[in-house]
Amino acid sequence: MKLGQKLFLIFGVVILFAVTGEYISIAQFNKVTDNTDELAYLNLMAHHAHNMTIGVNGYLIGNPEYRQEFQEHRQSFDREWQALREYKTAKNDLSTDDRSALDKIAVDQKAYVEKVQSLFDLYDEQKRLSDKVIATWTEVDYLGHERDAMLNKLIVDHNESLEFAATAVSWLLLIITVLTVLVGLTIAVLIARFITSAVVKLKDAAVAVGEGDLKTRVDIKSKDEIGILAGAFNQMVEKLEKANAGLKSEIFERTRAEESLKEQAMEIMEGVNVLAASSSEIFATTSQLAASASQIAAAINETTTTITQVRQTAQVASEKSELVSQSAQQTAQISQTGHKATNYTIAEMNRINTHMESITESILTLGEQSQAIGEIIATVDDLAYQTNLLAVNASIEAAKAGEQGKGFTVVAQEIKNLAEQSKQATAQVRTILKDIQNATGAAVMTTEQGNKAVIAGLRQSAEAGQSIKKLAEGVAEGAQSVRQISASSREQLVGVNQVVTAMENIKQASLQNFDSSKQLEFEAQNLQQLGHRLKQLVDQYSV
Amino acid sequence: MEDETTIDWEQIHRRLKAVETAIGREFIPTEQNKKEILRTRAEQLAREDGREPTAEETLEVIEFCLATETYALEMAYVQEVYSLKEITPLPCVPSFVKGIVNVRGQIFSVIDLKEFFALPTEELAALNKVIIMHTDDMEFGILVDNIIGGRSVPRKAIQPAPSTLTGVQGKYAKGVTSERLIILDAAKILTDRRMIVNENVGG
Repeated sequence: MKLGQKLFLIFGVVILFAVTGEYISIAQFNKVTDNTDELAYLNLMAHHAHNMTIGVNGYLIGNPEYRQEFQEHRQSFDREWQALREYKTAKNDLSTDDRSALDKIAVDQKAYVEKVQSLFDLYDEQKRLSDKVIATWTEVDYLGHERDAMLNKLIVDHNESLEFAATAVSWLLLIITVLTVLVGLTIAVLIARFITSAVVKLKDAAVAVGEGDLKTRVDIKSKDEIGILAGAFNQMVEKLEKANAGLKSEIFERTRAEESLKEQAMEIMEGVNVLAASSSEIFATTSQLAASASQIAAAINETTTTITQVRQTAQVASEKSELVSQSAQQTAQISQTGHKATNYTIAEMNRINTHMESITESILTLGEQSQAIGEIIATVDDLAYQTNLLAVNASIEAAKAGEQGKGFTVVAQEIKNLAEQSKQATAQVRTILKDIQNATGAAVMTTEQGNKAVIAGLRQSAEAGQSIKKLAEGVAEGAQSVRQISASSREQLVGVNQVVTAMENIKQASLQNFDSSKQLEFEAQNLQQLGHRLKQLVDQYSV
Repeated sequence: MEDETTIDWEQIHRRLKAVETAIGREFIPTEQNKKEILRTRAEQLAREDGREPTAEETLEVIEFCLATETYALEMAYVQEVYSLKEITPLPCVPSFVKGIVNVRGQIFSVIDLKEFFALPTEELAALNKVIIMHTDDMEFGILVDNIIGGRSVPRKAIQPAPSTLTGVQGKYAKGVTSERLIILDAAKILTDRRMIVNENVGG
């Protein structure tokens, strides 16, 4: 909201306040006016009432004209009453109390008027102040007082009301005046403070900017002219700040450029120094180079001689490798033969093994047959024993026969001898069988050892075959290598010949090199002098 | 090296052949064998004094082994010798009666002479031969280890049993020869009252 609008609004509020107060005062004042008017009507009615009493009293004391006056005042009273009622109705101020009061006044008035009429009629009839007239007169007075009392009450009420309204008006005016003054002052002070504070902020900010503090910003958020002013101020300061920053960076850049220029100048000086030193070194080096070139020439001579010797050696190596290649081929053939031989050996060993098995089988069969023989021998033994017993029994029988059995005794003896011989023979056979048994066992054991030996032999033969195979492979590889060596040595010989030629070229080149290095030495001397002069020149300038 | 260990197969084959022929031939004594046998017999015959001893001068006995001793029995009391096959033990008999045997349908009781003579019985003995003895009214078998055979003993060579041979053994010994052959009195053994077993079980 604009500042003008704000001021207008504030003054509008003050004016509205004042106008409202005035309106209320005027309303109160109108009330005073109304009351004054009504009081006027009431006073007139009181006046007319009094005159009516005067009229009654005048007529009764013998003045007939007072009857006319009474009639006039009675009509005026009624007219005023009517006017008051209409006034009140028009003003819309006819309260229930007022209406009942007015109605009572009207009723009292009517009763009074009728009584007065009857008094007048009575007086006209009697023409004197009889007791009856006086009594009626008193009644009339009473009625008149009653009406007047109500009238007086109304007057008193209106007087009080008037007084109250007047006082209210004066108090109201006072209060309104005071309030208006207070509100106006407060608003004025507030506005003054608001505007002043904003202006003071702006002033402080302006002073700060003036002193160079470009970070300063005014913090006023209002939308009015002061707010806009503050915004404009802030923009201004911001632009100033940016411009300032640009200046600063430019200064910084320039300073740096200056420094780098200085550094470069220093570097140039250093470079010149280095150049001078280097040119000296180059001069020294080229001198050495010239010396080295002569040494190289000598070394190349020696190398050439050595290479010639190498060529001879290579030739010998080539011939030797040819010989080795041939012998390696022979060795390969021999190892092939050895491999075949071991294979044959293995096959033979296997056959021997088979034979050994059959031998073992035969020996076992022999052993079993020996056992059968043993059984037969046991039978023969038994037979011999039985025969012996038989012989004994025969001799017993012979003894029983006495002298006749003598010859039979001899036969029995012979049988017994035979049995004895059989027994001895079987004992011998048993001994032989025992020997055979032992021999069989020994044979089996020997065969077993033979079998083991054959198995070991087989394994050994297999290993030997394997070794020979590997040997053959190795020899073949060797032969291959030797062939390659032979080829290589031939190539080497060619290469060495080329090297000899190349060495001749190198010799020529080194001679040229020697001349060039002399030339270079002379040039380096010139360069050294130039560097020296440059150094002197640079030393004259100081950065 | 191979030549050294080579087996002489030729010789081996020859030896085998000889063995084969030796096994295959029947026993036909050669002239030398015959001469050998005849010579041995001649020597044996030559050792005899040629005098035939009469029956009165000699005693025919059966010689047998029992434990470590050699005994003999008069052949007159011996019926036969028998190889013991099976023995049936008998209850309620003295311990020297080992049982009964069946010899070709005849039943004999068998006694152990070692028990009968109250000899120590610890020694291991075969005791698988039976000599069946008999008189007119008694016959039984005795168990022996081995039967050596029949022989004639000159009566003069028999000496009375020495006084050292005491006890039961002495009682039944008829005499002893110079070869420590104890000749038992078969008649005495056969007629011994102990042989008649008459025991009542529980009686």
